[in-house]
Amino acid sequence: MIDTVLHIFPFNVRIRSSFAGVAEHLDFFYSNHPRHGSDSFIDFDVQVLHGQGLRRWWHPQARLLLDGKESFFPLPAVQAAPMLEWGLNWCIASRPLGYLVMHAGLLAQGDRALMLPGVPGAGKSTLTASLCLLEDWRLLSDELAILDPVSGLMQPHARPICLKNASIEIACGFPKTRLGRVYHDTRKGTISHAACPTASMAASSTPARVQWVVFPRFELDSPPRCEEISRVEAFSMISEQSFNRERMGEVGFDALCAMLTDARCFQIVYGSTDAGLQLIHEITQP
Amino acid sequence: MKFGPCWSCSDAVILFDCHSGDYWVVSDLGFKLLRLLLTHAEMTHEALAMQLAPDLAHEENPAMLQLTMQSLMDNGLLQAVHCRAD
Repeated sequence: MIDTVLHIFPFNVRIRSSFAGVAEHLDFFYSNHPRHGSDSFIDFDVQVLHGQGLRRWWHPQARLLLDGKESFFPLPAVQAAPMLEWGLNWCIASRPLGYLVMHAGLLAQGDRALMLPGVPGAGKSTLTASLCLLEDWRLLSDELAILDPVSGLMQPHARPICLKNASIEIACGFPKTRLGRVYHDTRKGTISHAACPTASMAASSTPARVQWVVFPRFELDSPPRCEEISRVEAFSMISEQSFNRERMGEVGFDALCAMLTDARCFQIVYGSTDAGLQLIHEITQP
Repeated sequence: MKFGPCWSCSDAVILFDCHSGDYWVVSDLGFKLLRLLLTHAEMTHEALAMQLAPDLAHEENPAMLQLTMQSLMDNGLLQAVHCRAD
């Protein structure tokens, strides 16, 4: 049984699990994250436990408990580690009171951040992985863009990149990729995780200000297209990708407006990783 | 109601409804109309048209003010218009 408190900036997460797979996952992906004592403040108390009764042995299952309560359907035991990652995403998307949380990849060069919001399947995780593993952008998050309304800065949240289906093979071709186990037949298809690059981990508490907002759309073999869009249009699309805008109310509204006032916004369509990287290069290095 | 910034890259403004938490995108004309109505306790249609004349001069549709008001009412951003015969 593991029981540890990880500091995954900007949150403290207590993780308890009876699964060897979860322990291996933490060793592989979180060995450089600071550990705290059990007396420190805990933002999320997460347990990934074996199924109860017959389900411990027959088609064994994994259960996720948050603050001692089981709010999710169990998954096959072999998916215990992905379940932890999905559970953490759920915690961060739905629990924090002080941050506006949006569904977007987030990278930075120095203190200038590039935000890649997008609906699932738009290709943002693959593009995020390509930018940090091939082009040395600093990874802040592959999935959760966390905006501090007080400072107006994006908060890093350095965790493994979740890759799905065809993007796993693409990322395998990058020289800096450290890929974990591959999980088949999950609710998202085949998935795997790529480790957060070492340089990004080293700067995992350094925030950045959004300079560019790019809405990516991958269309196989499509010719590359780039269009600058208005901040109003970007606002509408980002607010659809915000997990907690209703709860953040006026504070979230002001924070998002301030964030966009400093940013230029684009929509891109690309048909290959190289084309996507080239478009990002043209936007950020004009 | 709270208005977002007037960004030069757009001819529309984001409007935040503090009560419902909803966002709206309103046209530049709609924004100016709402701002006038929020700052004046009472305003006739003629006075509105006069105040917004510089903006309406650019509109191709002469009924744009009426259409904008109707659109704002349809979306619940204008709740009532008091019509007087005189």
